[in-house]
Amino acid sequence: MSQLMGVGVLLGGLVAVLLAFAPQVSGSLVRSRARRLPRTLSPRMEEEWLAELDAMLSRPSQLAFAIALTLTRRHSFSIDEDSLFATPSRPPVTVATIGGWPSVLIASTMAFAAIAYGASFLVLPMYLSTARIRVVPSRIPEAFVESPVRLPWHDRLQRVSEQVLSQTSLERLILDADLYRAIPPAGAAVPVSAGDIARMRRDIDFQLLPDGQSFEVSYLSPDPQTAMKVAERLAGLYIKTSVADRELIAHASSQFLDAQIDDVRSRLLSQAAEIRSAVDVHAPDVDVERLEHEQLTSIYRGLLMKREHLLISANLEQRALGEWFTVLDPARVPETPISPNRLLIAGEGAAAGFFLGVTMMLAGRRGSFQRLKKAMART
Amino acid sequence: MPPTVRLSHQGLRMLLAFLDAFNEDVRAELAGAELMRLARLSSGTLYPILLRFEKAGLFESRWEEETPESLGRPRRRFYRLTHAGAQVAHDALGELSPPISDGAFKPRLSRASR
Repeated sequence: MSQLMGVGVLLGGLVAVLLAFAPQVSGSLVRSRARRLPRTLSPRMEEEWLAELDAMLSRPSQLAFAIALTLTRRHSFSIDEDSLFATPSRPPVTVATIGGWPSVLIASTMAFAAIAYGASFLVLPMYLSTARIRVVPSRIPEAFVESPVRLPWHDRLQRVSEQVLSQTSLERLILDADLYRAIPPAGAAVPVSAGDIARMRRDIDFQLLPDGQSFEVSYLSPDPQTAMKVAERLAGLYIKTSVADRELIAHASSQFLDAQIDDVRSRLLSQAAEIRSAVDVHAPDVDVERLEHEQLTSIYRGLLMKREHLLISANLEQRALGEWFTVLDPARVPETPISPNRLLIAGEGAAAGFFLGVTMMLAGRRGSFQRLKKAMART
Repeated sequence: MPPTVRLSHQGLRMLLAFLDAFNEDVRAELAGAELMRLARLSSGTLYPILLRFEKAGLFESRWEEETPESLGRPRRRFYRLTHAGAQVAHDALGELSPPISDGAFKPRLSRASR
């Protein structure tokens, strides 16, 4: 889509320049056309055409006038007897039914295709570098050590992606790799704009692969080396962020358990003191309090057990023995650009030219028939 | 006897544009740009036909009388339908009439005769 916009802007610029210099361009074309006519006609037509151009107020009309004359074959201006009265070389039915419109269609289609193809060389080539990352399952069986990270890996990947594509993370990457900005003056710090962040997000592509065990991260850049370096950095960021995320989950679980253990412990201690006082005064509900104390003790044991498991799990994450990401195919320097697709652009140009030709044909034929009908009605 | 010339679709459109002007004023004169507008023809189509028809006597033309110096611009050339041209135009329209009355408008856009 951006390629199309680029070509559109280019064609628009070309049209604007042509319109700005329409009188000069049209005058030159008309003079050149007139000079290629037979000598008997040349001076007259040059003067006549320049006068007509002068009388035209609209610049597009001037250009259309001059271009149409330029494209007309020299032979068409021949006024010898044969050309006046000879039988047309084409069968009349052909002229009657299709006239000169097929040539207009072909010419507009080919001209637009050629212009679009030519314009595609002015579009900046873009290179894509991709790193493939594999998700490696935990090397310690789940039955042996239960991981505190319960999210499936593809859900967790979503969380990791959000962190990798966060403004802070991308800002650092943009500054490190000097992306999207003109070279700043020595020592000057140029802040990263929101537009740069948005553009970087557009240039990064992230895809889960059909094997269900790996994913790809790609980066698009006009420079192949930069594309490779940034894709490599992104792959590293995914791995680093994933490890940090797992450690964070394990740490948060551990902190929660510690708080719970402290709470239950203090309640146990205060209950034990109450039971001792109740025994001393022979209180009647001492048995009930003992029962509650046993219940709390059991909960406390369970919490201690969980904390031990959690410590082992955290240790597992720190040693990178749990589920982890590894680079399967590192990013490479791309050899060929992925865009612009010149054939596609030429095809789109051809389609636009064909559409324009058909529109001109329909408008022209409908208009001429209507005028003929009106004229017939008057006579 | 009017001259018999080869009439194309575009030639006929130009004759009709002239005929409109001629019906309003028999001395009506048109310049190239006005003709292009009235007949809806491009310059590349119009001028070859104009030259051929002028040679065949259907039109006559003249330069603007004032000099370019006095006008402050190039002189324009004006074209006028001759009586022979008007006759040819009427004849051509006469041949086009029946298909229109039948409701199926398929004009013969080109004819060859000598």
